[in-house]
Amino acid sequence: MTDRGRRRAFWKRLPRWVYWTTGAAISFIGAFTAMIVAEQFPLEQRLPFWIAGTAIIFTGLWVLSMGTKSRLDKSEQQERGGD
Amino acid sequence: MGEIDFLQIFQGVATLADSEPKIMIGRVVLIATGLLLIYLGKKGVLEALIMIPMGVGMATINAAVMFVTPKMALPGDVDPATGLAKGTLFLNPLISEGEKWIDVLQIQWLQPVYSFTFSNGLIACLVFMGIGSLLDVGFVMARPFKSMFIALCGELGTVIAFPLAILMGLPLADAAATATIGGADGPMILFAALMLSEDLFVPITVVAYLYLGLTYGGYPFLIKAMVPRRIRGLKMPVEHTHAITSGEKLVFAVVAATALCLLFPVAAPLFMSLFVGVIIRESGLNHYQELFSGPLLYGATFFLGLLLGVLCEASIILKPEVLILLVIGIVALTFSGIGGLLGGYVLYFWYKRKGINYNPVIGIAAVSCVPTTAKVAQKTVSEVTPDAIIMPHALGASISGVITSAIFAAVLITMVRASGGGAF
Repeated sequence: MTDRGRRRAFWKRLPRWVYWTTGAAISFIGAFTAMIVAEQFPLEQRLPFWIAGTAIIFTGLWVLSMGTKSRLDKSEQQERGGD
Repeated sequence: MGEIDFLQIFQGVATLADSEPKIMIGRVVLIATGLLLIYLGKKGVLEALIMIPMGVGMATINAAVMFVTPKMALPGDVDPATGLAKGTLFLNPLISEGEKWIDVLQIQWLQPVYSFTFSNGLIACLVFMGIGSLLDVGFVMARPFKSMFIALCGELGTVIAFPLAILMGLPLADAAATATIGGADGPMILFAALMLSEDLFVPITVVAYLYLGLTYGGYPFLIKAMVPRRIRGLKMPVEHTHAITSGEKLVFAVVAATALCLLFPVAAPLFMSLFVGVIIRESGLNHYQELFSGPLLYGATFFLGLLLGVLCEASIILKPEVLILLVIGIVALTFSGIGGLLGGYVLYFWYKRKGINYNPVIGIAAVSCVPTTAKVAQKTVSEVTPDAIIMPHALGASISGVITSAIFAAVLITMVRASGGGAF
């Protein structure tokens, strides 16, 4: 297995709750930070911060969903092994 | 025996004859439009669940105008010579004084439903709860990046419609409310329009629902114009269908709802309503889910359609801005469709480099309007390749589209509110 493959396998071995807490933390921190930072600027300059906040929330949800994807991949591998 | 005044007996006709020509023609046209909506709803051309009650409301309200006492009349609609005014026994949406409102509430039969569910956005939230209880966020979780990326592209119409509406002369708040039509989500448009545009929320919502009803017929042409047949028929790679657990979906919904409410508190009622439906579904609260997805959703949809129709009384809806709304509405929905398909193309070329098929038609589902656009996408692909299944991908994009539509509405409401506009 290549280095890259090993690194990928390591990430996929993590338990689901790690993805969940990391994803939730990214989403909450992103939303909170974007809100705080946006309020420091006048209205016409806030839009980029809201969009950045939304992008970070989506990134957090993506990380959270990776927990599901890793479980699905694992069960798929187990099924293939059992064939 | 005194002389019988037939115009007093047949007041529907009398008020028609007594109106200025614009209102008279408007009432006749709106009665005909209401009947047409019922017909098209029955035929399945338009969404029957909303269009049939809306058509009934539109036809009857314009037929049922009568002479009423001043306290029942619309503001400024009292004839100083006779002391009479024209109005209906349905509802009075423009009422604001407390004492008059109490009187009207006891006489006009739809006023309680309007005042306590419609004018405060509750009915939009109830529909959202029902929709949430039917949504399976697993479709998003199985392909989060793709779904969310094309959902963002599917908001192109909102982004284009907002400056266009300002260029066409609408005030900032009305322009923002109209731009939300690009989000293609009826309850969300109603909610945003209620918050932003006190004067135009009725025409904005009616135009939005009429156009949304037409997406099923119009979007296939857009798909065929933008996606050549050989690409349209692309099969997606076979996916292994492992169930995503309820716990996983629950975590997703809770995090998404809380984070989005944190960033956009003005749209919190929408986010909360949508995700509470998802959470109830995934928590296994079957009795609540049956309530939300059945009586609550259908009851709210029925009254939403009926009230939208009843609000289409000629003197309320006939405003010069309606023509602008008709133009912006179609531009917004067309560009949202184009944006979604362009997003689909980006993914098509991205995955093509990796040797994986991605059907760009999925992009049309990103325009929200769940599940209609997803069905349109699947139907258009099936016409070329009958065994190509893109529905799970399309539903993922569509559900993400609902979330991004609410986010864009939230951004617009926050901007307008911070600039001192809006109806609250």
